[in-house]
Amino acid sequence: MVKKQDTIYALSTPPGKSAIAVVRISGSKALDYIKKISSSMPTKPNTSTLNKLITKTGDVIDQTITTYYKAPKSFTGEDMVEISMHGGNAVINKFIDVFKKNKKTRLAEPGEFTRRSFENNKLDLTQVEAISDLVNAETEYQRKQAHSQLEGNLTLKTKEIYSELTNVLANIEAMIDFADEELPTDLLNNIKEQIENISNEIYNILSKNSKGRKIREGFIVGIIGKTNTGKSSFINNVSNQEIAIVSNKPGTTRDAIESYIDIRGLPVRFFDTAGIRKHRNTVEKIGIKKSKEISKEADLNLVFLNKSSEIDDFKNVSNPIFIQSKYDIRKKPTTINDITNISSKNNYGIKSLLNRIFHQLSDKNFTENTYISRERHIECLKNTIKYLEKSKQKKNYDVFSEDIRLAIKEISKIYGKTDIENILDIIFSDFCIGK
Amino acid sequence: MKKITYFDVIVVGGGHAGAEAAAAAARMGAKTALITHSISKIGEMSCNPAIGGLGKGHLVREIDALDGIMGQSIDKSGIQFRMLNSSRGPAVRGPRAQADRKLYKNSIQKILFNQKNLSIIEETIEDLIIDKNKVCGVITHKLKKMHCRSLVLTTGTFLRGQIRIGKNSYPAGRLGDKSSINLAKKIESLKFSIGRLKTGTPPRIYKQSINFNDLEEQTPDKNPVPFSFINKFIHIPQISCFITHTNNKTHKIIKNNIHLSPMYSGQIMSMGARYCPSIEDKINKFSDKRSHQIFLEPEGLDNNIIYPNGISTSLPENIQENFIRSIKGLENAIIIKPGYAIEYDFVNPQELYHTLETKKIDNLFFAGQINGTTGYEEAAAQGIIAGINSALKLSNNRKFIIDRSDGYIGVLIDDLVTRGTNEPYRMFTSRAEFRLVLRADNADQRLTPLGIKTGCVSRFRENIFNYKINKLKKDFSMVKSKSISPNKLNKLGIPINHDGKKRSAFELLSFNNIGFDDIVKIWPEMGLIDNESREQIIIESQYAGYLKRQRDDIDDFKKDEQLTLPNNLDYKYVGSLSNEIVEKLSLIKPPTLGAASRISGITPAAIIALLRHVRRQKNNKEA
Repeated sequence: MVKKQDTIYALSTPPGKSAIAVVRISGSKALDYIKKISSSMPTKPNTSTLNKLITKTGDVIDQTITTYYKAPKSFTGEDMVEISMHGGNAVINKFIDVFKKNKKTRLAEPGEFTRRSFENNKLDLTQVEAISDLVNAETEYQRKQAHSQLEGNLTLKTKEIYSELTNVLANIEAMIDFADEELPTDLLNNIKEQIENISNEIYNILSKNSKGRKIREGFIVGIIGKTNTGKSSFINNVSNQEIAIVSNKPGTTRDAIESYIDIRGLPVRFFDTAGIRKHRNTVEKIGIKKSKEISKEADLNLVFLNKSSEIDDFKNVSNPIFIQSKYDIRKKPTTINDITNISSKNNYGIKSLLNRIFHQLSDKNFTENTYISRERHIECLKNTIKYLEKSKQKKNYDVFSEDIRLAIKEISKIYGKTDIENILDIIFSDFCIGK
Repeated sequence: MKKITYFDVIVVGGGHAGAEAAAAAARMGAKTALITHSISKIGEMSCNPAIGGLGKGHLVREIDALDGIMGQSIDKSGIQFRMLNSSRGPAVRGPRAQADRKLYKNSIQKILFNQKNLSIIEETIEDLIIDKNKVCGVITHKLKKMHCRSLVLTTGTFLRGQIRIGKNSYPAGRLGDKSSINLAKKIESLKFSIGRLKTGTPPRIYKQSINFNDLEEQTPDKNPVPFSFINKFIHIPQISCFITHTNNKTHKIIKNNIHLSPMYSGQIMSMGARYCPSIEDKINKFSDKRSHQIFLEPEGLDNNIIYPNGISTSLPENIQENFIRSIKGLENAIIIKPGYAIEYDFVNPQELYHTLETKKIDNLFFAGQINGTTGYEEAAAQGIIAGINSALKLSNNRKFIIDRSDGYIGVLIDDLVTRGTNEPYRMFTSRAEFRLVLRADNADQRLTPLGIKTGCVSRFRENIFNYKINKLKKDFSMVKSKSISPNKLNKLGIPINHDGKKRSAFELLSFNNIGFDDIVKIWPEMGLIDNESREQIIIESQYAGYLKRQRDDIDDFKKDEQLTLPNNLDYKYVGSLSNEIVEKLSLIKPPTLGAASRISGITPAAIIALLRHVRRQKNNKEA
């Protein structure tokens, strides 16, 4: 006989010494089991008690705060118990040891609580992604974005486009399945107009939302320039002044020194291509090739110059900020427009340069909601657009409708799926159908 | 001692479902009886005199591909053939024909009377003989017992049928026919979940009282295309229909008397179809529409009745006459039979397996309107499937199931048994997600091989089919094998990009500016390819990209359909399923993961849980 889904448990706070550690238990056996080792378990759902955990032999494990959530009103949608205990290694180990002996429960796999929450329909796919982003958020903008997604804003926006497209499809299907009926004469023109509007809406989101992905993965700022122009000193200075982001975000590995820094809430990855030569002692050519690659990809390039005349060598660099460093020894500022004077030694001009970087990265429409943040979302939207564009070519209704159907399939991949009954509902509520 | 009558298969009902079911069971070799209350009414078109249409035309072709009798009969009785949507793409074309009611009925009856293994009996069924949840016979009005291995019920609107015209209301299965009350009680006592539906029909008008002079004429197609794959030509004379419209005055009369319509006076509470609304509904729900079209359809060549398609109504007879006479061309119309609404019982089709056998009672099959559908074609489609499966019950429990990627019949039945319905269910092309592949023109290629394998296709049709398929294969391989360079094409005066890529005749046909005539110019031997093959080649070529994607989708779909869910699966133990979903799944017992995913209210998350469960089960078995 098949068992019902296992009851799982895990330490939900990081291992190591701390004031409090939280253990979560989820599944149908959660309540029963904790009750057995409790002095005063909460009896009502969504309440907490001061509760001693005691082993069978009468050994007190710890004094805890125990909270009980009853299905489906819990994070996972199952019965859950959350225990806040003292965060010492011995306490946690003792607790886990006791739990291990219980054959009816097992240690949760990574992400299993969230997965159950998804499986029990507590979260949709975008919200699952948002939780992972929220846990990993290190800057203010990352937090805001993940939170907005968790609130369901991405799903809401996609559902809006989904329902607009469903309307379009319903209208095309009406022209196909009710060809003999008296449909509005301007229906086809309306359909075309609607498709145009939806395409524009998606283009708009896509153009804005390379930003969303940048916030999730970090903006790229290239540091380029000839040797001894003060690039490394600048990076060192900034890394010391601002909060360096500890974790390494997944991304393409590059042969460059990377510094990941939080500038007023924006995650920014500085790539110093100069490091290559120093570290690997390879030919200069490779260094130059690399720096070209990075500068092409970068959202912004800091071009370090020895003298202003070098500007011409970097004419092709996109989104540049030209910088002359070592202001402390030069004494004389370069007055040519577009060149920023800084000194990494005495901090001259550093703050205002960082401000400028912040403003330039966060320019257009930044206050508006950014909806999409992952490659997956962009992929779905791009495919949606692909089919919408295809539908604009001259063709038979049967394949016209197929294009829209495929577009709908792509947009709904972001969170869910299509249903023909929705389409028929729209047809029947919009048109007078039937001989 | 009383003599016991035995049949392998008994079919109750002589409508479109019953006729197809009885014919199919008999073709399968089962000793079959068709029991009807009136032999003369077998094959009667109770509502509009037409077969086919959008989505429905697909069904007729598919029934024909399984050697059914509907397509052949309409080919012998169609008086106005039209290919609907002919300019909107091959996938959505729908063959349709107005029928001469009498010729159609005659053709159906002729086929049935000449069908081997089939007895036709005039009787009324009062009760079913059931032993340990298994049906084993019927008791007729004359209190005669008839035993059988399987029983197909096709009772149409006769289960507690109730006709309503204005304030009048009386039990009837159809105007002039008694309804079946005892049978309805029996079905209820077997604890089937029963609902109530409503349908309606317009008044019939005496042809000579209509002035057609100023009305818009709808002419038949110049070259009528037969429904049946075994027919090449139509021999019946083709005639026109006429179109007229309701107007302000009509709407006013109806509005002023709407309280007399049983639907608005609260007498009728059951659900009618949204796509077949009464004129009362049209005017009430779409009040901004100033006029509604009416098709004046002849009921036959030498018949004096006109069927005004578009004004089904249940208003009192005198009001019907009033509003009809306000319509152009109908100023002096004489009503022969009034329109009426009819309410009837149907069984929730979720009570059925995909074979149309009931889950509660073994060997009992339901087909047609009893399952909540509307339309002759929908009924016939279920009839043929129930007929085949009832005959298969004699053998080793083989089943004949057409899935959603095989045909519209599959879509129809899958929709019914997995989703149920709360309004009379009608086929639309938009219901078929694999629409581009499931065309009316290739129904035989899709289904006849399945029919041959299961035994419902006669040798005669099998031969015709094999000849056609071999010809198609040969022609396809010819157009795919010959290729030509752009250089040579340009020299022949066919402009194409100089990309140096050699293309086959098949690939060239996907270009807008290249037709089959051009191909024949290049390769004269291809002139021998007949029109039937040409059509298939052109569609496959022009839709190649779409068809490939859809066939890939079908492969994915089939994978889900292969993940079977055991009939006795206890959903309580799957885990991660809400009580509501557990209840639904336990009731419907979807045979596959794919079917489960199509049940309304089943979330993607629930499907993941089921998938995981099925895999785990499989692993356990293998371990």
